[in-house]
Amino acid sequence: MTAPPTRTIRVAIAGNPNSGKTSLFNLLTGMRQHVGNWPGVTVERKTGYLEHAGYRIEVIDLPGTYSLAAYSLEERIARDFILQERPDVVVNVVDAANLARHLQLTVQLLETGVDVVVALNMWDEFQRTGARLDGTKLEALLGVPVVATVGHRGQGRVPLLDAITALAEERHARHRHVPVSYGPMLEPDLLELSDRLDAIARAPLDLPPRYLAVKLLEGDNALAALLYNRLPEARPLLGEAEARRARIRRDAGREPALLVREGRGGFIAGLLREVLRAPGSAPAADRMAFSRRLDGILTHRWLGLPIFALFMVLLFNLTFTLGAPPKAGLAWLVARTGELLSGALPAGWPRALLVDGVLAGVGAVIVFLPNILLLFLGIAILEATGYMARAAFLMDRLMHLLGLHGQSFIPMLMGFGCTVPAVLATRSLPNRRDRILTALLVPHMSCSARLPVYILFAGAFFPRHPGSVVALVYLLGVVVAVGVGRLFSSTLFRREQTAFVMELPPYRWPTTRGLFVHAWERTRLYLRKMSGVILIASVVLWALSVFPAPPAGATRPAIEYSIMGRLGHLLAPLIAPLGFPWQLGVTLLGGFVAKEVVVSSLSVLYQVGGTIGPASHAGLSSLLAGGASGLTALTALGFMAFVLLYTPCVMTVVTIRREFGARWMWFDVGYQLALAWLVAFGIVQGGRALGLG
Amino acid sequence: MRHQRRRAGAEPGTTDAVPRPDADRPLTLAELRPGESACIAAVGGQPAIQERLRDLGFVEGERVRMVKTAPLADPAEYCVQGIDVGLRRSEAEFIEVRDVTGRECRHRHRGRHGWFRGRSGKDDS
Repeated sequence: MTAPPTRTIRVAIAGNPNSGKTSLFNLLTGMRQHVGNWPGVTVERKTGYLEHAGYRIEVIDLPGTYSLAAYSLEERIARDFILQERPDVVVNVVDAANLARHLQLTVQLLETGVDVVVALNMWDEFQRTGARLDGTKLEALLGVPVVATVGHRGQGRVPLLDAITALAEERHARHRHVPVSYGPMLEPDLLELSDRLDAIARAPLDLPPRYLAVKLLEGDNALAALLYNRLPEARPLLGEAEARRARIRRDAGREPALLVREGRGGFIAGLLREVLRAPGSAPAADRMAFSRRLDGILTHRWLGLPIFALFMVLLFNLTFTLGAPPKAGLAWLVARTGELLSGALPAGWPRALLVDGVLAGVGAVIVFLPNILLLFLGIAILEATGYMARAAFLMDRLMHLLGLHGQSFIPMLMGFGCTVPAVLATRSLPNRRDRILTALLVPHMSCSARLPVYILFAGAFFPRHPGSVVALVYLLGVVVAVGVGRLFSSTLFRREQTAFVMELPPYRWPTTRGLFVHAWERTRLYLRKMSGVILIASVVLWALSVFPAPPAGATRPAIEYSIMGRLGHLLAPLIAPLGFPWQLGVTLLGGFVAKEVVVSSLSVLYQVGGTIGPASHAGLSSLLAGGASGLTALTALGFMAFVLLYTPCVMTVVTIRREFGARWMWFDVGYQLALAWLVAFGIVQGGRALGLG
Repeated sequence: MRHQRRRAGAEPGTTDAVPRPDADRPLTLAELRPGESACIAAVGGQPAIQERLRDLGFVEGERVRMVKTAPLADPAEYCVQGIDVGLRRSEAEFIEVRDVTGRECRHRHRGRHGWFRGRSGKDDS
């Protein structure tokens, strides 16, 4: 047993996307991590804990960013964390084989005055290039410790941790000032501005005055606003900085921000000239050369798309086919538990609450577990190998039609299996706008739970072409998604334009451990967030369908006397224009629990009896088609369209709420209901006008 | 069709159906063919897009090589500062280029190492 840690060190990990940040995070924290969201946004926040040299170290993985300019959400999160929460140490992960690019962020981090440890990651790849690096000199020039690491092989963990604790211990001895010179166009103004800031406060906002001066000259509005609010004495400086910017722009003929960038670039170039010894040949290109060769096939003009389709079929089958047996097993287990409980407990509403409410709710979450774990595993493989970026590259043109990013294709495809994991899959998308828009469109991809409804109705009303009718319904979903996507992206999301600007990183072989940690953490997050809400929702829905109990001597099904049954009657006028009898209203309410419930509640309402099996299915089918239901082929088609488009099941709704907040949840519920009604109305009334039905 | 608007001074009498009023318009990245490389002359567009493009390495003075287009013709893959980046045509049009094909160009921060430049070969010398 080690002694209990005396102090906690907060460490933030910062780095470019594709710098191996994730593997380094896993290297540091191992299995002791958990995935959450940054407050109020849908960007994953990973935190892990470990102990080292008597310290408890909390590691926070910042979103991958190319700079700290705060133009994108990810950059803003990373910068706000560093500037406002002041972690004790920032580990800056850089790709050792591409320092010129990755040190851009390093320089920006150093300017904020935070304590930095530079992790020269993928050190093995750098060494393979044959180049040599003078680490001592690099440390001296940057003024911070530099450690070589190989994240995916677990090399460099202890030196990195030692550097972190050493830095945290002597926090009073700040690293020396980074002498980035911004050239004759900027320096005089920088010096004056930083002197003025220094005169106002010793460390304005706890930041080096020079950093603030650079940001003001760069025209960083977010930081100017922060200064305006938090340091009223500095307000006059903001106008002055603006005037200086205008003058520099006039004199230099260029944007001050561009001059700042050039200053950084010049510093880095000079630094690398001092520390790097590069051989004459071009071995570093090997990494990209191998990827290019692979891309010669994977993004090939003719082969690219078929291979992508093949991978998607594999992913879909991994998720839903491979996941089916364990899912069935879990469902059996849930049912068996229900039977056991029913046998052990006396009849009555407490038993019904436990079995039909609580167990059914918990069961609904648990049975999806195999699918979701497998889907996340599949996505983790796509992400870790670098193929995800290629998938986006291949599909972007198509998804652009919907106003989406290429990467949205994968959640959309998953939607045909189950909407819940599909909404969760939007986490892999690069920005919030695309995540929300994709989540709003995913429900139109007809999920597998809706298929039993189509099979029943298409079989009953279109006995000669049931398959074509079902295919038509699926197609309708896709067409509606295209229409809605175009509409929303040109209205709701008009101001947040999306650009396909995406690095295509070199292909990598993922580590098994990294994949499983990632998949499991996301699955655990799903479980934890779902269980409580689903439990409540399913108990409420159960109560609505059984209370109040039917009066003694009632002849009609019990559900008709319940609140849900009454609601169905109440809703009857609303669905009458669609040609739906009131029973369908009740089944649609039930379908909110899960879409397949539509079928089972129909059999309850029409008293076919028993659970759905082949025999009762046939009975229900002939009953429906026999005219007793008051439905025609046309209204049946309208009903299928309604089931396709209306509010998704409670699991999806809760997932959307968890991911994007209550506002988007209500929006989704509202627009889908309206859309379903309009489309069904169009089909039924349009068909009648044409003399069909 | 894709290269209809190529280069000022296209031979007269070619299939350029529409006469171009902007014959002196600078060439953009979107007009490069696979394998061609060029030097970035200017980066335009909204400030946020400019920043993003520059962060990825599309900085004035850098050399870019067009690798290929996606199977559906858009987006395209470019190699810049040792990494490959996918850009939509609409974004590539923000980037003005000059000195098309292998010629070296003026370079302020030549600290970038020659050996990062991706597949060196036919089009690089």
